[in-house]
Amino acid sequence: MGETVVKIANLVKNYKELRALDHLSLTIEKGEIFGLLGPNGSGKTTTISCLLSLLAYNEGTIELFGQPMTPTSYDLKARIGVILQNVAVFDELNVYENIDCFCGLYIKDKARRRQYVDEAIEFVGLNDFTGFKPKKLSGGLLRRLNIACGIAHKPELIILDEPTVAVDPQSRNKILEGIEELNKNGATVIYTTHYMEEVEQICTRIAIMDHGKKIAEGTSGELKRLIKNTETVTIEMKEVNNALLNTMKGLPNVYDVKWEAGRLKIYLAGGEHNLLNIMDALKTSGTGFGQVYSELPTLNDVFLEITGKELRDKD
Amino acid sequence: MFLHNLKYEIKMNLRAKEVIIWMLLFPCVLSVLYKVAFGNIYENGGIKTVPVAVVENRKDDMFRIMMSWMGESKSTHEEEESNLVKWLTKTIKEKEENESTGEEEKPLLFHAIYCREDEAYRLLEDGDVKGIIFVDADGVPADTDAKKDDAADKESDEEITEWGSEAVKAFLDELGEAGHADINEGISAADYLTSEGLTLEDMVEFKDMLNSSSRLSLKIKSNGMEQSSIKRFLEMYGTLIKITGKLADGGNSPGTKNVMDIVVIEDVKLTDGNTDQFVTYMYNMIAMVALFGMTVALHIALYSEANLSDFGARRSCSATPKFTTIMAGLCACCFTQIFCVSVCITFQALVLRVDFGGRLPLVYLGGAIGAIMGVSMGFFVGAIGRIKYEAKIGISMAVVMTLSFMSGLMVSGIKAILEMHAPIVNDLNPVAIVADSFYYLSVDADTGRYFGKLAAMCIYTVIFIALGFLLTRRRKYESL
Repeated sequence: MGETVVKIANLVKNYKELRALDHLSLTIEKGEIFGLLGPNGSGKTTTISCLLSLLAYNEGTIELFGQPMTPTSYDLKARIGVILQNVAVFDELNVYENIDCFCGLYIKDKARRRQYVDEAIEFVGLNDFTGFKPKKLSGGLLRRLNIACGIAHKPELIILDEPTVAVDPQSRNKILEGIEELNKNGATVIYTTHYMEEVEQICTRIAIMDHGKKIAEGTSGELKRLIKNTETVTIEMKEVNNALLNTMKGLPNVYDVKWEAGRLKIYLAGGEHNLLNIMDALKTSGTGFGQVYSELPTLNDVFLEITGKELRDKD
Repeated sequence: MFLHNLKYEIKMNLRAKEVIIWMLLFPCVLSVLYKVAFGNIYENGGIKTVPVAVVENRKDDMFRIMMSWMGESKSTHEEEESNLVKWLTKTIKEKEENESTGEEEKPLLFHAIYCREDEAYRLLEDGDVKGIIFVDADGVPADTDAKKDDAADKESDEEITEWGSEAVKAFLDELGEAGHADINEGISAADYLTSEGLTLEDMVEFKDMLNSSSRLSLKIKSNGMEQSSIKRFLEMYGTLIKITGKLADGGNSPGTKNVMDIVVIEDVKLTDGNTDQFVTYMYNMIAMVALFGMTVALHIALYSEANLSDFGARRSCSATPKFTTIMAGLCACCFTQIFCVSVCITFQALVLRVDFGGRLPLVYLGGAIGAIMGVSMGFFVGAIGRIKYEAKIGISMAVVMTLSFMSGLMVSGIKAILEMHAPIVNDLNPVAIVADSFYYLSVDADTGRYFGKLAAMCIYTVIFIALGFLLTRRRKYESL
């Protein structure tokens, strides 16, 4: 077992009547990319704020690198890099100056700082924009600058709070690749988002949150194994009769069949050759159909099955 | 880390468009506008001579002397003047010639044309004169029939009142100094005339001249600066007649000194400074710029408090203590603000040639401390509550403009009104405190009152900074 970087135990945070965090416990090991996944209002940002000692909490303990985290733990803070949800850069300073300004909050030595700033610019790919003011940058480039400001001092623990909100796909991929690279270079990463695809793509371990509680934790595969569904087959067809529905329900490993909006969805729990069995049944019934495709379960399915609701509103 | 933060805070302040517009461009442009609009009114030779017709239904020597002193006169009908009038006119003219340096000429305020009523109306109709003064027997001195409180004239009237007050004060000084007598000490003009060897008849004539005041009335065709100047002159002349009448009766009556106090507002030792209204506007302008430090310093708390901005959250997560970032912010804002105030003072002193009484270094000192006070106020306001930054900017601007208004930046008389009805407002108004410090430098020979105002600024600064730190002392927040 590696070194524990973050240890949160029984954390409770109340906003007057509302319980934002309900006895939350988390342990994050060194070298992990830990994903905090949950819908808006589930308590992800509150967890991060408590972790950084910005918010006062009602109960529980927080330890970073084996030491209690307090507002005056400047030695601990020097080992953390924070990229908050909203872009926080100064309009009056150009790209280089912004990164240098924030890096200077951690690194005193000028020469070392200069080197770190150059490396951060290189890392986020803003070499051609060093003299640009933030207002001249696109949304994606601005996000990259925001990240550079948070990681320039080479922190051991990087906390990213929804860094890809309102970012174009190209910049999003660049950001995700960057996070993986930072992790390869030795940084432990805490990544909060409500985009399950991102979490599945980069996180080594995931905690799913809802209403301030951790409802599940593990790797992507472990979480998916928590639920009954292993595969969903979708068949596009104009109409369906009761005989076909009953046939499908009777097939091996099928535990549910739904007909909605021109699509027949067949939910399967384990087994083999499921798609072949379904195709044979279709041929026998003589019903016309369009596309047929099979999907593996997602974290949304995990969330749906555990909470009975979607992880996020459908776009 | 302090110096690193300081460097970037200064950079950000000096690059902020709001700073350039409100701290540098706005006051300079406004100063130039004031200079163009009002500067010439107060400068020697800058006053336009107002042509006025005088219709004498009754001969009033005192009024004639006053008019001849205020400008040049001509008459359509020659008339023999009395010995006393000739002597008074001659004495004043001699004194003026002796004191004349050749560079400064006494401005001609009026060009009086003594004529018949029908001629006067024709001149007024043709626009050759701006008004007709009727000198009638009996009645209340210096009463005018001109429309009072005309809204269109109000602003210019304020200026003319000041100007008229100065003119009458100057006349009294001339009269007093010509006879080596100090009117303020209550030595009567009659005593002076005796010492000059004039006869009893001359004294009686002088007393009659002062006591037999005429009823003066004014006809004008339209309203304007020139008409207002005639109107105000007549009002001030009425006051003068009241005073000199009492002096002629002995000058020691209990009410005399009080009456004098109305005209000679302040009898303190003057420096070479300029006390005219234009300069007061300029002092208020610098005070306003100093107090604009409020808007510059609003961000200090905002960028340090995690519950007020994302910058605050980012800084609160960093390895730099909050105290360091706040101190760096305060120092940077003080530097920026002192720079802006210094530019404003330099611009006024060197470009607009505003007279600071020859004590420019102390003006810079006053401006600098005023700027620090403004910054401390901004730090305090920025730390209050979770109000939007834009709203705080708006509130700060409104506060500064209101305080500047009460200090007389927009309306010259407002400060005097407050001084009369609620002097505590002027004592507490930070803009007035800064402006007064410059004023005292200009009019006082010593610096006692000036340093008193500086002390008041320092007290304000300490209070606001202490309150600001009190509000930003939190390390954890209940909500973000």
